[in-house]
Amino acid sequence: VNTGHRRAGLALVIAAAVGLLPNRAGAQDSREDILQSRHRAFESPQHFAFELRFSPFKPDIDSDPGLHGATPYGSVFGSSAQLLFVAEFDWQAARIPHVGTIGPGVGAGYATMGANAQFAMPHNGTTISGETTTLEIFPTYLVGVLRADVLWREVHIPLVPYAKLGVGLSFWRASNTLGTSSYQGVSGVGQSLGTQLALGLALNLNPFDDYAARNFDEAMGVNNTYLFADWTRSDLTGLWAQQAPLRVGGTYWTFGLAFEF
Amino acid sequence: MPPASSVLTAMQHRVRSAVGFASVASILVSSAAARAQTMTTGPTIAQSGQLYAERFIGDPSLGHDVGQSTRPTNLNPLGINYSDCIEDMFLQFTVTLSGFTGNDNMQVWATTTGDCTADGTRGNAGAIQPVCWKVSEGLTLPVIQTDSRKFNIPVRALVGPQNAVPLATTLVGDLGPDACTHQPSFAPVPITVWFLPLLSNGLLDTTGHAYQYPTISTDLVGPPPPVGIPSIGDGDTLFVVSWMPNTDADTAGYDIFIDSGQADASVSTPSTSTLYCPDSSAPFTTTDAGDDGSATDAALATDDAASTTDAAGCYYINGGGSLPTGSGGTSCTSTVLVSGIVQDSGTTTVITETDEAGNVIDSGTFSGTGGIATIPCQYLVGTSCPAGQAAYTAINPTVPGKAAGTYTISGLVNGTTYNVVVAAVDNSGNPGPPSPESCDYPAPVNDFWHVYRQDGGRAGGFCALEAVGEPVPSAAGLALIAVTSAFALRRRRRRR
Repeated sequence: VNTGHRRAGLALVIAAAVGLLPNRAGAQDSREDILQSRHRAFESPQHFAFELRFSPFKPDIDSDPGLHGATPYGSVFGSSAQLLFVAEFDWQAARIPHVGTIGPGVGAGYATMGANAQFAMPHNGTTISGETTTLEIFPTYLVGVLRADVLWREVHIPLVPYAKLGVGLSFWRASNTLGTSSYQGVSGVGQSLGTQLALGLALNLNPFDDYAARNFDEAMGVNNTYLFADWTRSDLTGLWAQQAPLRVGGTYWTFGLAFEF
Repeated sequence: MPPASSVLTAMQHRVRSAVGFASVASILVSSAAARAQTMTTGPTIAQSGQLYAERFIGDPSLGHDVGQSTRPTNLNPLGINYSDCIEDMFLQFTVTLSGFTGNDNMQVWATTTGDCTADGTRGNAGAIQPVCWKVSEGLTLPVIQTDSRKFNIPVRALVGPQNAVPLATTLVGDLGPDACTHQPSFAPVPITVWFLPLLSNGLLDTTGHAYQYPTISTDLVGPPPPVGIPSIGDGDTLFVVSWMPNTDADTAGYDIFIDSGQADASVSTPSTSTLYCPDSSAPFTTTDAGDDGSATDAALATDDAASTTDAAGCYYINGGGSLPTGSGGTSCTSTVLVSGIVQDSGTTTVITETDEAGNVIDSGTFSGTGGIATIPCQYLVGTSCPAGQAAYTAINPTVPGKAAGTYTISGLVNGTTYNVVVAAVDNSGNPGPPSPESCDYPAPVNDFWHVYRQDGGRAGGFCALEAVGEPVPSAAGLALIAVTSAFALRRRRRRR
């Protein structure tokens, strides 16, 4: 059933994308051909990409087997997701003919979650104290990025599937009202290492406004602008280098805006 | 040398910038300046050396020079506050006299209305009620003077008569500390000092030239306390104190006071209490009123026998549904935190605060009772304040900013009851009367890091990729990554 649903979903996505093609094709006339040829002529070189990434994020801390089923993150911060913001910069080092670009990318971001700490014992009839407890996460990663823009460049379907794979290193800090937390001499700061994976689909916005796209390229050197969504897996479980890191990675959907230039 | 008119204009600018208020007084100053401008020859009094007066604590011949200001630039350093007055500060003015040929007196007068050059303002020319008062006899006939002279004016003589101007010929004497409580409201009052050449009959020598010192912003009354009772959020050895910020134009910050008047929480702990021992695996519940040496206490001590600190390392925690007795200001029992002088009551309209260009910066009407907090310094937190002195001698407030509404007091002892009050501090550094007391006691909390580690989490420590004492795999993992990278690079070079 799942496979059937996936196929149906994929078919819908392709149909929607192809749906753009007839409109575009229908609108084609000799004048547009001239404009297109001029656009190609004036297209600036393309070597980089920049992404602004936004994710509803909940770290995998409670999945640590060392906790033996305890859920410290959930019991303190609850189950709701927090906003994770990441900026990513890619170098499109090479182009694979009839496939797309490939190259390294780096990303860095920030997420924070906070709550009122709980009393060790009920106090004045409540368990919620006036003291705050906070967890800040600063994720970074280095990935290889493959953007299969062949559909857009050769068939004019404005969809670009992409994949990213690499290593992630997140820095984190647990704090309370007075600053960085400490428990029995162990300070609440550290870093967690693991793998980083993202599989997604980007929608090229250029065909929706050719004129603006051309101007953007001529003025700023931005060749393509995308809206994208991807499935992201940040598996920060140590990567053989750490025994029991704080699992501040997670699996989540990411949405954002990308620019190629 | 600039003309007299431009000098006076510049002086007026300085007055406004120093005081920060545009008021009716400045208009009166303008008319006085216009009259002064018409004076051409004759006895002349002018500024000598520094523009602003030198300040001394006590008689300048005995006291010590504290410079031209004792406060930071944001707290009316050239003005007068309650602390200046109560410390018996003197202002030493230096002026140059010229053209005095033996026919004139030189006297020093003060006013809240801006002008003392009109004879009527000093009670002459048939005036019934003067608006200026004499703060120094200056020099009496015959004055033949051509050099600079210093005149020492006690702050108390400047501020004391503002609410009841004495008769014209009366010199304001030593008014004592009582002079510091005569300001009618917590709004600042501008006071202008005039150095006047006067004829023997007390009238102004219109052939001479008077000198007007820049207006002094005088504020002896702190603003009303924040509305309501401050709330306390308990934490681990800390309080997060919150209050409703003031809205009046006079408030510039807040002072926070704390008193551990009660020896420990047992004094007011509700009957349903729990003895919490951090070094023990389980808490012990008791209905005993406290660690008073009763049989119950002995049993608890026995339960806690494994502890080297015994009951001393434990806290009584209020597990019931109510705050400690009296919490919320009804009967929190610190007597030192209620110290204050109430100097006005009822609704007061704070004058509009404007900038130099006359633009309104802040204004509003505020209801409340102003005054001065006289709580000793040792109860004031978050700022330096000399031990043994009252809190109004502190240079800076605990929390700057009128809009501030929260402050964290740390370093407390869990289980000990503390009383807390909040006082608003004005733009001159005067702390107003304290708010009603609020009391509670801090208790241990488990923040995320505590919960994570207690649940078995082993992460932590910033510098190492691996915790100390962990086995080899960290090094192996890093080595694997390094070898893989080197292999990939080498292969790529071979291809080239």
